[in-house]
Amino acid sequence: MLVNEENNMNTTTQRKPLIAGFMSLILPGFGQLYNGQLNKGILLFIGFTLSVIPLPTLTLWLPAVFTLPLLIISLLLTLSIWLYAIINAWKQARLQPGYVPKAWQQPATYIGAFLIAMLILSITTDYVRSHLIEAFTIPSSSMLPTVLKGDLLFADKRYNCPGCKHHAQRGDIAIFVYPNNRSWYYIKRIIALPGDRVSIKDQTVFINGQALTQSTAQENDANLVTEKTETSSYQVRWSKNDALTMAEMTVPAGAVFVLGDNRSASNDSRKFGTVPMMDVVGKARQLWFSYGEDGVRWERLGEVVK
Amino acid sequence: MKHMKTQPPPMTDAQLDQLLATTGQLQVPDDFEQRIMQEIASLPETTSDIKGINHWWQLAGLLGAGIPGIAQVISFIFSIWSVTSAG
Repeated sequence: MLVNEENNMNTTTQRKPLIAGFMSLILPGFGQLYNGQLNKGILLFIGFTLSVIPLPTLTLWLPAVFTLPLLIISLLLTLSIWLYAIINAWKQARLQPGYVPKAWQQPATYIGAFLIAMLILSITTDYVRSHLIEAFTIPSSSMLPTVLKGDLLFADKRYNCPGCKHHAQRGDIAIFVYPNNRSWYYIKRIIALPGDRVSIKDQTVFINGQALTQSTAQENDANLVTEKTETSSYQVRWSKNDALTMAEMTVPAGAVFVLGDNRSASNDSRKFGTVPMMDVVGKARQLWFSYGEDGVRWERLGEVVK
Repeated sequence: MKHMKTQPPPMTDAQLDQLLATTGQLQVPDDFEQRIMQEIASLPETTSDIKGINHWWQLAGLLGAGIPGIAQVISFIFSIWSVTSAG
């Protein structure tokens, strides 16, 4: 009995609440590991990781209008789990002043768990951004009036890739690698697909001899032209004095012809040529923030991009 | 019919003390407690030094992991919200 008490005295160490809380701040569930709650630590880490991934993934299978609300819920849930992990680790450590460390609580275990968790988070982050959903900011007015300078939007990255459900279609607002500088992304509307014949005359775009123009409205010094493809209808803007003409060309195989909706102020396929299909990486989905010279454009938040 | 082995019930501490008293083996020396305490007091002081050094290493490791850890967690949480420019 005396021997047992002596052993306990030698192996008992105090759990420090600040260290426990700080460890869960570094990594949700890490403080629970320090407190000897292995299962709880693992569950918290898994819960934290899943709250960042499944909800955003789920939004992609729902109508685009649900993207922003679900992503906000997902963000709040993630932050709640993180906060809970910190407070719980701190409280639990306070309840264990005389704690006997378990056999697995060695420095190597903590270092290994930390490195593995960091690797998981890093891989998951890259996967989500490159294969599922990514946010973009728009620094130019080339897509006016559909997308304004200062808009922030989500793009669906499950687009135009092998095995992807969504393939490039005429009328899609696509994000692609700029052919003249591969470190830049551009956002433009896909007008013509491989094999299509495209030409422009008198502010009218023709695809395979058929005009896209449905109607024209006047706005100060510009014409607002409504165009229609098989799947979408949208408005584009031409300056009134713009008389640009483009001779008919055929889009080569494996490429698309893109135009900015602000036809008189856009650097697009009329200047840099067609875009290789493999460089089209995403499709604009929903605006999640918008700001301009007059401040936040609240009315645009959550607007589905078409 | 099977024969089942029956084990005697475990002895209590009082019964054990009583049994040892009958054998005369439980003769604790008078200075037993004093000798034990002397042994405990003479434990090398270096253990506390080692504990102190370990403590500082642990703190240094924790703080060293803290910056990349927090940065990674924040980058993970806001991975979907961090924007790329598309002109």
